[in-house]
Amino acid sequence: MKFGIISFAHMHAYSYARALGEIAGVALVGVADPDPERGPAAAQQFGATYYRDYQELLAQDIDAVIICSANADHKEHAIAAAQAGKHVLCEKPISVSVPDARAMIEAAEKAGVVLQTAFPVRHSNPVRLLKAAIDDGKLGEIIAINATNHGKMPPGWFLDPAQAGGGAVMDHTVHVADLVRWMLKTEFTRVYAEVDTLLHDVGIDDCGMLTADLASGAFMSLDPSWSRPDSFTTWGDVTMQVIGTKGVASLDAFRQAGMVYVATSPNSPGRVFENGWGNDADRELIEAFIAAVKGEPNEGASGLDGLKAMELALAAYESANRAAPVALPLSVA
Amino acid sequence: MHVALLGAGMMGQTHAHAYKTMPKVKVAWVFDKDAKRAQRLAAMLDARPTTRLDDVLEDGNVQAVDICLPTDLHRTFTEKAAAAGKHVFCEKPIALTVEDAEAMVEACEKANVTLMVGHVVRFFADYQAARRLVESGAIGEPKVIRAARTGAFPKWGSDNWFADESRSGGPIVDLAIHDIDWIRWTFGDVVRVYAKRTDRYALVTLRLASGAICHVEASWAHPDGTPFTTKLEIAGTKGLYTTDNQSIIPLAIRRTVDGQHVYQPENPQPRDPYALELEHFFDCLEKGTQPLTHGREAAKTLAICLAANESAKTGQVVTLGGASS
Repeated sequence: MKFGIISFAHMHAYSYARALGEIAGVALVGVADPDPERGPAAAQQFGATYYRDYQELLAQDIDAVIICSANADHKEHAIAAAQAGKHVLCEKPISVSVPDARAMIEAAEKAGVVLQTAFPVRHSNPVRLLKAAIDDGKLGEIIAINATNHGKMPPGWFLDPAQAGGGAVMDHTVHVADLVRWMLKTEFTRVYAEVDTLLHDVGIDDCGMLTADLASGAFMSLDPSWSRPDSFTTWGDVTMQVIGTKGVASLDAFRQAGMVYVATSPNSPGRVFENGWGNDADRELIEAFIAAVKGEPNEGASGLDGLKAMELALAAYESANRAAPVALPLSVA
Repeated sequence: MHVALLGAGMMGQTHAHAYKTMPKVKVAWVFDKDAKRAQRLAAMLDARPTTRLDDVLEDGNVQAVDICLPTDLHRTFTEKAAAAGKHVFCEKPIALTVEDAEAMVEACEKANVTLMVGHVVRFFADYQAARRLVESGAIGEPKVIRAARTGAFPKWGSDNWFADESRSGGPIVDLAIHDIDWIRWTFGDVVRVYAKRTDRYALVTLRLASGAICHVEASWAHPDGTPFTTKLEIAGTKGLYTTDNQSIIPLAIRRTVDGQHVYQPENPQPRDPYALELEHFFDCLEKGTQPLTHGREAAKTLAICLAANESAKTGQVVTLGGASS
């Protein structure tokens, strides 16, 4: 199966490109990126052909594309790819508005191609075990979830509302929103959120606190803040405390790591970082997508899953603007 | 200084152990409606047991009472003690309603006696260290705060009074109140509250006058045997502080007792925080100063907890003090 990657604007493109190189029977053949430095460098790094214009890449003999452009560009790239008959794996959030996401889903349906949203956390083994425990009824009926998806402050277009469609709340609501929908097989019905720019000198929200109701009767809180400083030992976290009638589960999905303490020089404070050894969720995300393309069962997130996760973030912004809870699904004109 | 310990349950026993380390304070009476329980604890403290509150109130040598009774009894016992001229140390929460709390404050003011409420978290070394760190400015302005207090349901209450919301106030008023009080004390006033809860679990979001956003988790919903867990995280403009009482275990002892594995983690406070809070109370009585967690202070914390309950009940945001950020 031949892959292309549209844009390396999102740093996950590098992880996906690396993973593609490790999967048998799969090749990354083309990279499209309008950035004259980033694009050719990435293409060279992964042994692919560089195209400045993504339409040129789509004209090649490829089966699928992974879209890692800025959030606001997903719609254009995904629709063009679908129209060119390419299967699409789109970086999260799927888009920046419900109508845009819907247009992407419709384009894929019309073209008869697979559209999946890249939610790699679904494919982390501790997360899979948690889902299995819930499915097996080990926790009983789920009452509540206390979750975090913390991160460091990202660079570049992530801080531009026009390109990112939102800051921390957009960036870090969707992973946990997807996990909760997927694990509990239910939908969000209502959300209240505090959203603000408090931690960094940026023109976009960098912290928030969401509290959501689920159709199952459970409720959830989620902290999506970019509250990890530069010195934090890893990129952030995905944690969930799941409270059930029969038991409680505490997930810290990326905790599978040893600590590394490096003395950089006698007079410097040194450096501390984590040496992870968990399963390769990025690779397994792509394997699930490949299974979908082959029509095989898989746990990949659909375009609609991507839309539903993004919708929670959009509703959170509306809630914060109105300082009141907002009902889901959002009514979209 | 002579004190009467009212209530020989879990908190009464905890305070009794603290009194054992306080040579300047003499526990003269242990009152409990259960004569045997009163006798047992009184024997440990070399005090007189009684099931009659009047024995305590009529004893002119008793300067103060220490109320370790279920929350629904706090107001009546405080009013009676104040009317008898006794200073009052009362376990948290101060009461179940702001009206009751105000009445207690007024009764003590009228009788010219001191009222202190046992918001003991302010006396825990780890929480004091966190507060000092914030005050030092090392992590900049505190902006996103997460606190958690989780464990199994407290089964030790007599007549299972914790399960009766009309007596305990439920998981926010009885449990989240610890963190909400510490947050108020450390980071300032709360302007907005949103909460979700069941009878045993609660998630509370607070917006502070400073602009900071706080999240408080309180659980009595964990399975029996779950270790009582506290967590605290403060994200500031210059850094992040995280701590908890489970991963920080300076001593762990494992043994085999009667063929069973026994795991005993130890994370000792430098000094029993209950002794510190009680010493603070008696210190204030001696000096005639206002305790850190005086009645009005406790009433303010209670009001936020009640606002959280209101939010959970109505599904709406509750704005406090007419202010909004």
